[in-house]
Amino acid sequence: MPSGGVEFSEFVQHLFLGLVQGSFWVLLALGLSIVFGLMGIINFGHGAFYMLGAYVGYTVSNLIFTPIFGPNVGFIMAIVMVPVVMFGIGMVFEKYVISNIYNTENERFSGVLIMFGMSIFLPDFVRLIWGRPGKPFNIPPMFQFSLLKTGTLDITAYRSFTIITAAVLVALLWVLIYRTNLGMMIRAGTNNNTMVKVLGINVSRIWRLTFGLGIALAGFSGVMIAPLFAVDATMGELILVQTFIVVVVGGMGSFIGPVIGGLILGQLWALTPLVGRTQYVVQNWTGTVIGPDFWEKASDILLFIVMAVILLLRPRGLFGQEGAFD
Amino acid sequence: MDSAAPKNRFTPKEFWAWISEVFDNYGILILAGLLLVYPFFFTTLNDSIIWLEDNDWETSAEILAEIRGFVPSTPLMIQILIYTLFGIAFNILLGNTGMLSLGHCAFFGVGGYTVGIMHAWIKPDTYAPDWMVSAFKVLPLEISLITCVIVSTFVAWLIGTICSSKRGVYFAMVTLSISMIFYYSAQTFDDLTGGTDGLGGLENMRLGSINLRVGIMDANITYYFVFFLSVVFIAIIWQILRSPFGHVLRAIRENEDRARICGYNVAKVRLMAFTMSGAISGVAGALAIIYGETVPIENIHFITSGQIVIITLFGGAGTFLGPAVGSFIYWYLRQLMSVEFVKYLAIFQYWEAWVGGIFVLIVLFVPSGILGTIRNMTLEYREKKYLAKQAAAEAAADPE
Amino acid sequence: MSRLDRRKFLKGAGLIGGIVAAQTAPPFLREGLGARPIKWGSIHPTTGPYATEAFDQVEGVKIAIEDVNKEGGVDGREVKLLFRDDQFKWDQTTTHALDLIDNHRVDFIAGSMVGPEEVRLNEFSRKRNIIYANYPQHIMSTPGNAKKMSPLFFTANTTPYQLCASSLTYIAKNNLGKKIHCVFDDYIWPKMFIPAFEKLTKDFNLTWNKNSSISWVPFPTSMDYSATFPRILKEKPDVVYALNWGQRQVAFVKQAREAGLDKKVKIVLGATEITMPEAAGPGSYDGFNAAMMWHPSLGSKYPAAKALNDKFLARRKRPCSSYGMLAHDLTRLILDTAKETKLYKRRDHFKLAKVLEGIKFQYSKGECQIRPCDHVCISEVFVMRGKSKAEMKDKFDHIEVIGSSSGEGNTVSCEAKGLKEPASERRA
Repeated sequence: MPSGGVEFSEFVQHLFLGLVQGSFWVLLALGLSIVFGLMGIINFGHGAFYMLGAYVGYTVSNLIFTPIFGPNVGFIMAIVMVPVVMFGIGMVFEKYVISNIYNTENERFSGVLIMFGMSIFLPDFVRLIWGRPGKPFNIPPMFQFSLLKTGTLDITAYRSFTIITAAVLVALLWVLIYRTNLGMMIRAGTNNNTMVKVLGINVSRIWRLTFGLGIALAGFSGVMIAPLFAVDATMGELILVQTFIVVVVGGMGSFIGPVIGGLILGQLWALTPLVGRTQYVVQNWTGTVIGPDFWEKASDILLFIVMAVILLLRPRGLFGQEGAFD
Repeated sequence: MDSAAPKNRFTPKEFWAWISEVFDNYGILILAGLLLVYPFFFTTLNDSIIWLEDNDWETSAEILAEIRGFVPSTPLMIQILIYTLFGIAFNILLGNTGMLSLGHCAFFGVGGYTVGIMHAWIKPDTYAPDWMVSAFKVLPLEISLITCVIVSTFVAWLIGTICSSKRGVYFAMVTLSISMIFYYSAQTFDDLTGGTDGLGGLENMRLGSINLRVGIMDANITYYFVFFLSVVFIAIIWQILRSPFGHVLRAIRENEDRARICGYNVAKVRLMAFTMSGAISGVAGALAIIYGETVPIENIHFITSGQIVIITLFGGAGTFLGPAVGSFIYWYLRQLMSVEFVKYLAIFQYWEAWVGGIFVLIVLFVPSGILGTIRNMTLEYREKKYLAKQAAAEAAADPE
Repeated sequence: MSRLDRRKFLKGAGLIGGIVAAQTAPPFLREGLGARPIKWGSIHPTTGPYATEAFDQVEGVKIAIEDVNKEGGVDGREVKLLFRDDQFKWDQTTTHALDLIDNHRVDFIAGSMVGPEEVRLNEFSRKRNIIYANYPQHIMSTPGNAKKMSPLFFTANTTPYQLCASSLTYIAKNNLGKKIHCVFDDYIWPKMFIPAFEKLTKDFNLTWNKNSSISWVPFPTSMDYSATFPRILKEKPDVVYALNWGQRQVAFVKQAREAGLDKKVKIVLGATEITMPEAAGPGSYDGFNAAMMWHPSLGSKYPAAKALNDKFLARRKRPCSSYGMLAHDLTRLILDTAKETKLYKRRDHFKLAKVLEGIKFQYSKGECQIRPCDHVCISEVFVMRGKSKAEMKDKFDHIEVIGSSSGEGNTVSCEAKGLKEPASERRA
């Protein structure tokens, strides 16, 4: 039952949580979107590489650096090392696996299938290497405090840190894509691959770098999310569909699309449970009051409904390029 | 008829030519014939093991049992047949019309839930009309199967009107999101569907007209039931795809604008293809439920869509029987790794990694699917042979 | 008719082939007592998210069967384990079950890790009249499923009602507080706890309301429980009761600690397993309470539990989880009963079920009893406390037992379910 409306601090807290969730989705969706935009591959293995990132982060932090320098240094090293390692893994993977399918008969389907195969392969591979039970990877002591704490409002340090990191990362990516030569080539390739080739630019190198970048972003979001969620071999399956939704809602192949899409959907996800707690009474067609439990349960399925509606009204997504990927 | 053939026909070269010719013309019939006698073959193998066991020939029984481990059992063949039908129905869209749908789990699941809910919740004495009760005493499977076809056709038509006008990746994503809405509905209304635990307590899995109990009671009877229905529906799809309508589908796949300019109503044709594919997928879903007699929620989840995409592309999306090959290899490989190989090497406990790895390798080296590659090789070979023949004929006709 | 001839021909050919193959096996090499072994067909999802627990089950069954064989087998016959991986795909469960029952002629079917599997195997048991040893049970015990339950369905596990009763008894006895707020995952397992809450909160005089005291969390994709915390803080309950499992529970514990929720209210987890504190890290369950079916530290109380755990440590290099123990105990119970009564053949299963109904047994925990009317196993349920990092003795020592409750009061009574006669007499 609606219990006296929503306090302002509660509202702000939900905004904050939505921002955290949104910034994770932005990071994940950007990795997916860049790879899709340039190479046309729907990366079903994105979740698997995200999971691999969390496990690499666990190894770097808990097994290598924490015993020597303590958990704080371990964590910092993890978030520094994981993107580098995952970037390398992505480049190697592109060079020895994906590059074989370019210019073959079923190029597009083969890319999807290889990534699908990776999403089967990696979870069990991780279980083989690291063992079946989940791994402990917790918030380092230096982030175990709250920046602001009044009533129901609780701005914790780690979540703020993830928001800031995501913002910095998005800014760096923007600089990379819109202010460097490499970024210019990536954008040109996204628009018209053949033309870039004709102009004499080494496309395969750009594709390799881009794929590595996508994988690095997946791995980085994995290691950032791990202290809040669980490190488990199946964690990749769970975020995959949501990431697709963000990319599709934002618009494929655009840079700003996933960013805005992620933030909007994050807020939507976080604010939906609040609807049931406002003083406004929502009734269904029989006149029964829709209680708070309905809105709490609805926050997941609402993402799918939003995606379907947006695709029906505006098929290319909010910021997608028209006709680019039909 | 073999004895009537002249003897020189069986030089090795001629023999292979003859084999390939026979397969060309009667391959699908041979396959159907083999599948028809498969339960006899497996039952015989199994019966001999049982006989040996009962007569204390333990060692030889064990040897034969080891061999049996590598032979797909009749239940596994039922599963393969169900996913073959699903894959071929799915391939109307993917291979023939060029639409990658990621939402076919919706039809597979809805078909299954229709049969499941009818058999779990409709009690003949309370809901069914009197004539039905007097005629069948119980709810017969025919009624629920027909209902399932109607419901899944309707659902497919409904989803099709919403999203069949989309193209490419957008089509894939819209179907994906709509199918996930079905999944969440099944999870939310768990009083009706059993939620994540699945729906159990299905009764009266009986064909009323011939009073035949299908389902988990006897694998052989279920095999023939599934085999018969699959063959009927696969034949329907075969007929559809070789009709003018099927040619329009492939015209749309190759060049949609040209098909439109030629005067075809592309939107309508796409919608019809989508509806047909969805309806037959619903039948496959119903068969899966009849086979297991419970409705798992997994059937309506995105995993199932992914699985059928893999199966279809594995076998070869461009060929008619590709999904059959894909389905066989997908399930057989999983079974072999998880049951047999584990016995010999502990590392096969992580068999998913092996299956995934093999899968990636197959995609890399056999990019157009297994059957697709075989077909391409055959075509290439024949073309070469034909050209050589022609050149020889030309040389003979024109000695200069 | 020609097909029949073909069949006969194939059978004959198979037999001849078999006899020829049999020549390779001289009779003096035959092992055992000459009688056909008893086959225990067991299906577990040793692939996928619950592989750790599934392998614990397999190990438990293996230990039980080895022990039975060491003690001379059942009626002089060796017990043989046929173990299948159903790959976390429920069509495969049917395939394996059909294969095991029809082709391998197993005498008992066992297994299951999660709900859909249990439902499937229960159908097999009900329709094909074979005893089904269910290891983790939670569906067939609910009142609505009484008719769907197979009369040959047996389990050693606790029901949601028992888990809930033990936690609420602990809360009421130790005066942890009056007002309870729940955090439930939105799927069917937590919903089974609602009837228990409705009855027991009245009995214990706790403040709880079905409409306003439950926060639902979307399942399965959303893992961020922190969206429920503002509401919890606003409601100001004394105790937060959370129901989640696997990596979702790990996420809940981490987020509750991060938000400092464990400092403000007492948090009780509806059910837990030793793998979860391990995945959450040392000391992360400090201050949390949880209900549990069994824990390896009970070895100090029951020698059999210690023996079982030692065998587990030697084989798996990790302590036994409650899944392993439940699988072991139920397998032992059925095989030992079959041994005593010599009712092990398929045609004797209803007689064996009759013996098993109401039987009292004690293996790795206190005395348990299988209730005749619905085959619920009336047994102890334990309440745990998370240890801090300093208290841990080794890397698996995350939680300790601080209480237990048992007895028929922890269950929905047969009268309340409307069941009078024993389940094996309710044959369709």
